[in-house]
Amino acid sequence: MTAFRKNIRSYILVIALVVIWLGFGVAQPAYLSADHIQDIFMQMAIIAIMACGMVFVIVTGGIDLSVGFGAGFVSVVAAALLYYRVLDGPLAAMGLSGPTLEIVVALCVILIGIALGTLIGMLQGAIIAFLLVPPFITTLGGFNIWKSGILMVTGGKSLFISSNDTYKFISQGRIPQIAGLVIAGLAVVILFVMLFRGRARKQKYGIQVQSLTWELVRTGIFAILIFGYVFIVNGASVPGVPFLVLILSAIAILMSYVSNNTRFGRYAYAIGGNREAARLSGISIKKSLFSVYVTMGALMGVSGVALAAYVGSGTTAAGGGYELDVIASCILGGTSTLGGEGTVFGAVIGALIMQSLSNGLQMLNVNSNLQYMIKGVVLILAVWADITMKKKKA
Amino acid sequence: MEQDAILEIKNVTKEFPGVTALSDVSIDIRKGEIHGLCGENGAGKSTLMKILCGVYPFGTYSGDIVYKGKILRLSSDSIHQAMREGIAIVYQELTLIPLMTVGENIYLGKEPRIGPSVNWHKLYSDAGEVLNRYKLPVEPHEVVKYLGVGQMQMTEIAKALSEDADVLILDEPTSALSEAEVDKLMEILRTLKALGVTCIYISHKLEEFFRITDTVTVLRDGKVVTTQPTKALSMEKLVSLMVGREMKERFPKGNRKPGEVFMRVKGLRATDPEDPAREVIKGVDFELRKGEILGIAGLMGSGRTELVTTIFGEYGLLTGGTIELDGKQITIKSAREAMRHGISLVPEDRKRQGLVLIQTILKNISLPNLDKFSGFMRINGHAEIAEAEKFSKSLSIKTPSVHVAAESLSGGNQQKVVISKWLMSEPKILILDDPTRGIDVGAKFEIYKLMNQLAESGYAIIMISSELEEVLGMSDRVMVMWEGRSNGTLGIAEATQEKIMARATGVEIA
Repeated sequence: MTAFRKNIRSYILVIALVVIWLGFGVAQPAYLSADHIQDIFMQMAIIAIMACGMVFVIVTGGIDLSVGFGAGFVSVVAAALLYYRVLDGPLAAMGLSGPTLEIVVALCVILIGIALGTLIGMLQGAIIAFLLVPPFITTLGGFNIWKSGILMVTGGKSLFISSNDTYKFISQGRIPQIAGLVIAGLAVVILFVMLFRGRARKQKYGIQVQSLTWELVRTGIFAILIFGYVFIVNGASVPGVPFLVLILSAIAILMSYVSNNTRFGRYAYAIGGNREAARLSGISIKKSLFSVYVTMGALMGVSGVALAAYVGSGTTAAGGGYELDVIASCILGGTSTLGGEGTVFGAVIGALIMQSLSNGLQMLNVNSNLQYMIKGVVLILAVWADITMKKKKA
Repeated sequence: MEQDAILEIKNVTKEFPGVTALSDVSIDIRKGEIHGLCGENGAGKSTLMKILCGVYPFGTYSGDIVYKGKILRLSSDSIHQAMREGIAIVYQELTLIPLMTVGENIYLGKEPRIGPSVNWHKLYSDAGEVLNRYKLPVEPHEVVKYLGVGQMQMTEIAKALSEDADVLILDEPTSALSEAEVDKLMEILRTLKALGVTCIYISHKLEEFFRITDTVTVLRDGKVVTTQPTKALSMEKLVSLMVGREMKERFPKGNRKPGEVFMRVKGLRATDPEDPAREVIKGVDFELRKGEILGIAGLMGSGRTELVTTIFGEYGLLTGGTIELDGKQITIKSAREAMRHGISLVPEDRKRQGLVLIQTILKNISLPNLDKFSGFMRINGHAEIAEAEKFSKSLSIKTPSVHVAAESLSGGNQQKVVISKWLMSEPKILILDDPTRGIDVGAKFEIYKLMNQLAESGYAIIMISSELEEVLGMSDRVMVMWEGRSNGTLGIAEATQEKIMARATGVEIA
């Protein structure tokens, strides 16, 4: 049952999410329509992808304020490449044409975008880890630098991506209904295989296993959720699982795994929990911090690429304010700003909660001036509730 | 004697969910006495202190605290209320703000004012007066950061006494002090006593009770075992009252057979990492054999900790000298390199340097050893758990499972976690920096036994200790540090407390 207690915060988050959905659903039935459920997940995905990296940054006791305009910068660079058709010429010269050309151009832009994000992460990570400039300062500097970068690339106008629909598929496309079901089926099979393999391995190492029924029920619930989601969005007016949600799921699963099962993840948590103890345990603080910011940068690159595809253009205000939504998602999801604590799963749910709230308020026609206030209050209340709960436990 | 009790604890019971921390505790503290309170960790000392100073307010316990003839009712945010009533506490961990002056620290939160602004002249003159009255040799304008630990403690005491306390509670005041500083503290306590201040003195160092207290109360498992005049007790008696069993020997006899020389340190010199112009290690020579315990004695500030951290690769720049391991000269620039050479360090401060408190026992133990369980990327979580459980069992860490947070363990068990984490790295040399600091008698004994076992199985052990008795009780040889130098190594047969002190203070130079 210790596992249950450890995960209690995750369960509470999920319950909070369900309550929000039911609440808005009763007030406005369209809220629970297939179309809208598809929308919420698409809209939160860009924030959630960055939140998967931000958890690690905050867990080490740092912060990254540059991710909003950083992603924005990546998005306008991607948009510019497509708008000015920078790659079409050289690639056509290599003998590509028609749909193949479009796909290759899209792939190249994606890779360039992710590489650019990673580079930004490397630059900022090096300044933080090796030159010892505090993360807050470094990334506040980055915030302004990439904002400037956006203005320079766009020249103050929006760059529309009209040439390449393949690229826009990243954020606007849905995968075929049957593909969604197949992927869901595979995921469920993997879940069950992992369950049984895990139990067998535990027994091999002489570690106590939890009751099989409990584990089966838990995995069963997951399976139902996955299939339920796929069935719902397959019934939407543009049917199918959004491609972006698939990307988010893959990233979230990967980062969640990384957080617990690799040295990279463990070191991040140890550094945030007690930097001195981590150092004396032979962990290279510099290398670890550097890799954390590089990872953040890579995910920022992914988000930037997705952002350009989502908006369908590179705009002068791209990504502005995203950094705060990303940080708020992590915190709402239980990441401690003091470092050492936080989960990827929580951060994704946090992003989902934020999005569900704003959409709900919009659908109920709550004055938009009031919406930010409500989100702000919810964030503070959530953290306060968390602190109170921890105190009671102690 | 009833009538001159300043503080009567009457049938106090304090329960936490699932645990009774204090059960029906009654103690009379007489005015003007120094009342010792001893017991193993978890015996209920801290709980009792927290009731007295209002951390657990009136109403959260049953029974009464009668103070100066009236029932004491402290409300929940009452740290200051207890102080106003005249009950002050000096905590084990120092609570000073390093960048502020002594005077600012003493009056923190109660600065004298003119209108809205601080009256600095009054603050410093008042601070000077308090320090003078209790004969505390500290200068009010000094910045705390630059004080020695002993002087910091004096500042703490001045802070506690600044509101004319009648009762002063000292919670393990000597755990971080050198022998000389302990002497100084004892002198201060005598002065306080002469001025009519009543003291409650908590310590793990039993000999201190005999040096300073008038009465001793022994707590065990939340109950008062006895309250007796100190004169009627002996060290052995006290130990057996605390643990509830006769403990003939404080130090278990080992059967160690030191082998050949394994490490040889010659003329080692190193500078302060914060201030590379300042040399802290000024020439250290010693040899370490396989299967032996080498004790390192020395006063606080003599460079003991700096020496071992230098060897471990995590202190300042090496400016001279050599370290030879197994006949080969080596250089170590980081903890990781030290580990690669088979050197492990259990650091001085387990909470600050040894553990990630919010993480589980498992994660703490495996932290330096994750390479062992990792392939290219993935950590084999099952092998990790199995290995950690093995250590948890063999060192008998008292916990329901390895998935419990380290912060919830007692000091002794926390120390075992730190030792486990370093044993898992399969070292050849284990350096223990003050391994039994702040640990109760029973747990100390277990750690001593463990050290013996390790040495018997061939580990070379270096043990720094602030307690001379411990050094003498556990070491095969004793290296004495004095002002950053090694001042000779004594075989255990010839070593005595006097000889070690003479070397540690530079009275005798090797």
